Amino acid sequence: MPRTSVTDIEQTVRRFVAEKLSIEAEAVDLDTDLRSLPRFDSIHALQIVLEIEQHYDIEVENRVVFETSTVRDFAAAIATVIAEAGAEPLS
Amino acid sequence: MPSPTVTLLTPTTVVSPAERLTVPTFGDVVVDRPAHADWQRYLHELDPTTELAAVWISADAEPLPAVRALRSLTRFDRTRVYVVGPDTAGPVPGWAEALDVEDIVRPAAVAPEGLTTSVELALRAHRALMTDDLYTDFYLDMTFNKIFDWFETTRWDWKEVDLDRIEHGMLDERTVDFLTEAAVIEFGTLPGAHNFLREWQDEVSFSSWALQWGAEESRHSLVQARYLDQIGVKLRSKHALYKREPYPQGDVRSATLMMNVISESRASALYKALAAHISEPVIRKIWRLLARDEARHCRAFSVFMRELCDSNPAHQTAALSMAYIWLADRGNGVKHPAGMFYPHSTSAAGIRRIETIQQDSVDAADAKVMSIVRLLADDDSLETPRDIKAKLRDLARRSGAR
Repeated sequence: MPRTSVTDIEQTVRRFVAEKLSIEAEAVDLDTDLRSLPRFDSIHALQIVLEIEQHYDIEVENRVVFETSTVRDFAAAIATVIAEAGAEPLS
Repeated sequence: MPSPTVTLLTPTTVVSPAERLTVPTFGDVVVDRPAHADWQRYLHELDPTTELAAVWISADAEPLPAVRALRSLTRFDRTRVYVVGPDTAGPVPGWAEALDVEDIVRPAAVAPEGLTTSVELALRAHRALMTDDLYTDFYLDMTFNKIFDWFETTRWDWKEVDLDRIEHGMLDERTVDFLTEAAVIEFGTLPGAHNFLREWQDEVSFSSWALQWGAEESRHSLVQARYLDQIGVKLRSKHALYKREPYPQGDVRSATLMMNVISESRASALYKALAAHISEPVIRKIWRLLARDEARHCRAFSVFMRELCDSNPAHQTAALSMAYIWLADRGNGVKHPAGMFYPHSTSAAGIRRIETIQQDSVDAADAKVMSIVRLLADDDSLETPRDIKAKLRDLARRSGAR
């Protein structure tokens, strides 16, 4: 698995969130509560998670789908999964 | 999306070039005028992406074989057909109904001054057929007719519930609390029924069954409210009004149906648990009847859901996504529409309290839902919500590879 920095992951998450919700990536701040974004709901959260899983070839736990509230938290959770899968993300 | 096409088949041997007509509600429409002699070739060579909405066939152009030729091709099953002739007063010939001819109309209907109105009516009829995902040619072929008798013959009778035989001494505060909560939770039926009819407004089969479902569910609040009344507890009607405000309708019908499959399965399990833990015979009987009702509803919702999913893989993905969301997340207690969608509702807390009576009852309900999910996905390996997510990843990968 290629080494990936947390910053890269954050930017990737922002891009997927913006694309899925049809909003500008700039509107998705790292610390914005995802649930405050227009059209964000559990189904969109699942769709974003599925795309992230496919992008990094990983699997995240169910709780990440339902409990993660910001891009920063989400990226951190993904970085942890990537690290556990064998490639230490760059900090 | 390409403009819809309508065709005027006349007895001439001259092919006219296609024209465009602008219809107020539908915009641009292509008007073809093929020659009578070219009819078969025209039908076979029509671009596969063309939406042939309606055909007018002159009574002088041998309408019966022309309509037969059209109907022999399944892609034109829903094309509306009009026969144009001077004699519209007599009885409609039997073959016209057999071949789904919409109407016999006068020549003025296709004259330049009347054509726009005729095309608009035809497009409305065609669009109505095309937007119904579960459309069947014949009314009695619809799923509503297939499950109607099952519902009629398994509905409980009010005579089975004798409120004069309540054993008051066998009731305690906790039972009355559960009973009140259950009656209030059941008020979620009305906004649910409103939403079903809104979400399925251009459809017949599920909408018809939704009326049956609503009628049965409305008895659930009533029978429990009458029981409460009999023991001196008055249920306030505010619970059925501002505490059950309308909520946004769903985006995808199969997902809405999956949500109801799960909530009905859970409701059935909770009523069964309540009945198993109460000794007072009248409320035990009521809760058993309601558990049976909810289990019947779960099965019926799953029938309509599978019908949609079998016809369209996008419906399958939407239903599986909803199954994952509802089965994987119990972080804030069991999800049920009655507790989720209403800002003033207290039902989420009520459901959590009822669940405490038998903690594994929802697990049993969800295990039944997983068997429905396996059938839906045609995958016997699915055991957990995690497996559903893996299936969704796999479906996305496959659709991306195509």
